Amino acid sequence: MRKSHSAHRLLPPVFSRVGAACLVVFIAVPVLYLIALALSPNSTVALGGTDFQHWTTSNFTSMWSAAAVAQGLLNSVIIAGTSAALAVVLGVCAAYPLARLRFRARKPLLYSLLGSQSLPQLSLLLPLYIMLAGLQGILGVHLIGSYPAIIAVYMTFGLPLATVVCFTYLRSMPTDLEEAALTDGCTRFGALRRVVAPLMAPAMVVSLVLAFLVGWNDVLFASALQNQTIAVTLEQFGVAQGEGFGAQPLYGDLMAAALVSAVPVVVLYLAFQRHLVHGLAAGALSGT
Amino acid sequence: MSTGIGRARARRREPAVWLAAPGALFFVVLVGIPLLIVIWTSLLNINASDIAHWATAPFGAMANYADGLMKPSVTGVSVLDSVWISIKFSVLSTVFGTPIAFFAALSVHHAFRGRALLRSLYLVPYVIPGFVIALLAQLAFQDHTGAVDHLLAALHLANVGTYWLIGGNAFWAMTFTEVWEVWPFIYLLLLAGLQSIPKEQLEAATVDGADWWPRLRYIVIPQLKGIYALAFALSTLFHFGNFTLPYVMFGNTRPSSVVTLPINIYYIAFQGFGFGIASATAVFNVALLAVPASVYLWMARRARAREARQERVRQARVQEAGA
Repeated sequence: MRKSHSAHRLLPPVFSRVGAACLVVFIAVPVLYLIALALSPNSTVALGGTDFQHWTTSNFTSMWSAAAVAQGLLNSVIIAGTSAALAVVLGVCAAYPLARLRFRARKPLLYSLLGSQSLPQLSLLLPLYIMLAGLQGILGVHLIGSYPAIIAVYMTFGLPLATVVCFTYLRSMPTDLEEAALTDGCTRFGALRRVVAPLMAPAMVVSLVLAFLVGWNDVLFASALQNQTIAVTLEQFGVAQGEGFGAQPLYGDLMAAALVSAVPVVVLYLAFQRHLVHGLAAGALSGT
Repeated sequence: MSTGIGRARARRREPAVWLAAPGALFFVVLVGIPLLIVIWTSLLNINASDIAHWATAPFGAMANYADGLMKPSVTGVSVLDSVWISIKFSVLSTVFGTPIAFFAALSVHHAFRGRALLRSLYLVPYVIPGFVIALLAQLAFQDHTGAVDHLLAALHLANVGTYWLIGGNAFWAMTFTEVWEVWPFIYLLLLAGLQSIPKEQLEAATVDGADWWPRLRYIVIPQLKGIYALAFALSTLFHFGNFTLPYVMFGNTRPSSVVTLPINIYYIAFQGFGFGIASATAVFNVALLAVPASVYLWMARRARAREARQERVRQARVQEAGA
């Protein structure tokens, strides 16, 4: 019993323990540094330090007026949330026929979805920008800087992601239940809605979280398309502090706001960790 | 490849096929058409500016293209130089991240108390948003006031005032941050690979008296090679496209050592307004990445085939056992 237990040990015990401890320190120090800076007054952070004796939560109240943090967070929630929800709905719908039916466009579609994930973002940003600018001229409405435009743009990445994750999940799901529903006279749409969709819940959660993070973490598209998401707001706030020429930079506020925008993401990730890790690995390995 | 129910009903037209239509349409509009446009703009501008040349000397356009890649852009760095910076950045980040990832994956494979917690902790750098890490790095690497400057000085490794955010040092500050941030990606894939190694192999080897090193050397490493190659390709690909870190970490005083390809294209397009050159560079970028991307697709297909093979063997065994 003891033998089979230790059979999975792949490193000498001491090395494993000491190494893991070092690695935890390596991970923890920057994170603690971030927290310490967020808890220090701006004047202390500007001088390059943190003072354990004068920790204060004042940054967390002053940051809202130092930069448009609240608006940035709201914009990010709306943009990332909507594009993720749309991506998941369309992704589930597309994944089902791709996984269960045979049709001529199946393979080309599947391969383009997979291939698009390794496209450099800028190769899509430039033409999307040109398209939006062109449409803007034709329609006479503002698209660059609007919610619909950036939501659609984030779907460029969210949609293939959601489709691939749901596709991989469906392929590993037995077909017995659907077949039973179909023999019992259910239409295919009925089977999809009543039988498949509930079983797909974990895959949908994974794609929802991953597609949400695409929008939440992005800086490139939001700054090119002039959307004040939280990422762009903080990036510009940071630049402004650096160029403050003599004025005391509000780095304490900046770090507090950065912490506030990171915590929901980390919590989300760790809460769904098991599913997410599985989904990530599946996404990466789903070369078909 | 089996398609489940599809096989039984292949002949009948399935209206459910149309479920894929909205997704496919969005995909064509958001990815397909833009790709055609970017290729078109990359050619159009070059032809328009040099049409006579193009008519008389077919290879003139190529020289023009090359000129756009060779001359310094608005960032002061030529496209070819930033390709080189990006290659260095992405390959070095993957290479430096590899030993950490290997150690981390191997250290949480056996069961022990607190393993789940340790696995979660290992993921933390990866799940913190990239812009947050870049902002923190900007402060941490600042000269005189940054923590890194003081830490290295305290360890007598460098002087206070080493200036990590300008000149050649900036490249290393950026690479270090990238390694810290994304080694867990390789770790995740390696962990998935470790878990797919049949338990019996390690247990049988242990019964035969193999210690950790022979188990690692003769069972684990050979079976992790494939997935590591995949992780290497994917990780390098991701590092190559990282825009957030160099953009956010260095603010508006970006030293030329951190002008990676994405940064350069962004500035050519949105500050120099050279959409033609930027498009050409983006197309060049796609072509450049097509090499690792096709290696990735090929590896992934092989991994899948291997999995299917193992699955067939397992099922055959189960059937034998049942018979």
